[in-house]
Amino acid sequence: MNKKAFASIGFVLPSITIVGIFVYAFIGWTIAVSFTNWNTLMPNWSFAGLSNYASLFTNNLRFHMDLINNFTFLPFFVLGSMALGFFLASLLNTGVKFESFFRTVFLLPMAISLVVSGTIWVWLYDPTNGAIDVLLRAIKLPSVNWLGSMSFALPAIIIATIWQYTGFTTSIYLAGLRGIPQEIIEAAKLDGAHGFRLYWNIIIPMVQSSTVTAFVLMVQLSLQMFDIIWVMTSGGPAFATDMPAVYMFIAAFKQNFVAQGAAIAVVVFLLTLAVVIPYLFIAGKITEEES
Amino acid sequence: MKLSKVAVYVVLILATVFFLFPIYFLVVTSLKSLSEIYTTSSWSLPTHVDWSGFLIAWRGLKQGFVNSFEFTIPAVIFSVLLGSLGGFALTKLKFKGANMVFLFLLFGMFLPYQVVLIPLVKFMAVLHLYGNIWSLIVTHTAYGIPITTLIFRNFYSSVPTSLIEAGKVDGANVWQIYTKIMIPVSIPGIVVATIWQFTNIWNNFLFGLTLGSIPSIRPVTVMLNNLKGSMISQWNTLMAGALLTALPTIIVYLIMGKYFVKGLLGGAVKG
Repeated sequence: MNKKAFASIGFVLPSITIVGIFVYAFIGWTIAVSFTNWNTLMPNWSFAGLSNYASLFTNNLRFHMDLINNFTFLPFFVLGSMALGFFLASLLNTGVKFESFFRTVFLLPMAISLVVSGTIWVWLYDPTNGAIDVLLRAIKLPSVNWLGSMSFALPAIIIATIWQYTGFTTSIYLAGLRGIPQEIIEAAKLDGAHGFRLYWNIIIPMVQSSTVTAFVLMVQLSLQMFDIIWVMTSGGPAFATDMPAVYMFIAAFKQNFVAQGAAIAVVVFLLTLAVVIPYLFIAGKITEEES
Repeated sequence: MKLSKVAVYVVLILATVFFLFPIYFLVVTSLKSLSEIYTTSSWSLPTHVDWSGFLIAWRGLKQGFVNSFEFTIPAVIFSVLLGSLGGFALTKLKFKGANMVFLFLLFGMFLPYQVVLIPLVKFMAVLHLYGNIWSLIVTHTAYGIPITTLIFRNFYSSVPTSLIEAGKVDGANVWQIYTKIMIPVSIPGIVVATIWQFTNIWNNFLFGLTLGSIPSIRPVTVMLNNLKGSMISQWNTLMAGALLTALPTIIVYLIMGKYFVKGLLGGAVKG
């Protein structure tokens, strides 16, 4: 290797080393542990084959609940935050006054820790004097114990999560909408495309890359959902809001089912890869075209 | 004003109400006395401002505040520095395989942290860092590298290569080009990466929960969650604690919001 190339690599070598350990080596370690019998306090590296995975998918009812919850949460959260984000971005893009005020307000939850917003939402959902309960009683509707209810707890968390992340999708779509050349919109209008048809035929296809980005990010967030659930319900009542990421933490760090926890983590990881790998492939292509 | 224009504003104001009403309850509740929480509607303003919630919350969270600053500031500095070095090499030094290296680093951005948590704890234990503030500094630095590298890579792409060429003609070596030419022009990039990293690391919960084994290193977010467990239904204290925990990042956001959005999109729109 010549001196110049060596100097160049020197600048990224610390990052490559650190990421190599903390990302790649750690993933390898977790995968390895998931094939062992280490379901005890003391390390046990004896080979267990696929048994940790097999038990998750056959007789582990909690994990089945987790997958059902996660894949119920996912479409509502992803479509909810994307649709609301696109809608708000479209409104902001009509040349409104106070645009930066609205943008600042919509994005404010993104600057707040999920622990903070989770705590606030628990108070809002409080069944005795919470904001939502007071409102329901004022309009003569029955009280609901939102977070203590098998059927309402998950929807309640979905709403809180949409509140947290919609500013993010709004920003992504606003950047996408701003990138559409004005002449294209004008030309389409001259051709008689207005309202719904303008959006369906011209605008939505032109913000496709924003849609892909928002989709990948929101799906990935859904699959890893932990903080807000831990803070709001800890997965309860009776696992009605439990998710794989929560179970993984409990199994690995509270119950010392280390190999079991590792297997859950690997499942979450593989699910994430299924959306991220195609995305990185596309992103990599764009990168090559740019350079 | 046209009717459709009015409708746009009505919807935007409704959305504003949706995004701000939790903040209203956060602030109003934090200023009430405990007895008022139970006797008046949660919607009402405090009859008189009562700071007891803040006093109790601060007593419970003070150490967490100190701890969070103690690991957030070094981790921000280290991750921004590494991101800047990497971004410079990837854009301006154009070595063979630069794109592969970039994808190698970028992949970490999408990582579900669950898949690294167990080895992370074991690794820190082996290094005798478990229970030490450095475990959090190192961890936040490591997992910050993908996003800071991406931010700086995008930023340096727009710095003209002619600047580098001019430096070379003057006989500067690579390190001098980086410190004398690149660093001075990268101030906006540094601001974006710093704000993004500060917000993310301060707000983080999972690493703090996993590594914050003892109170002297436990982050404020974890302490807030513990407060929630010990102060059940004392909503004035809990809202005061939540407000205190959120304050540093809210202040940064309100002052430097423009740069926060750039960090957000720097990591999102450009792959």
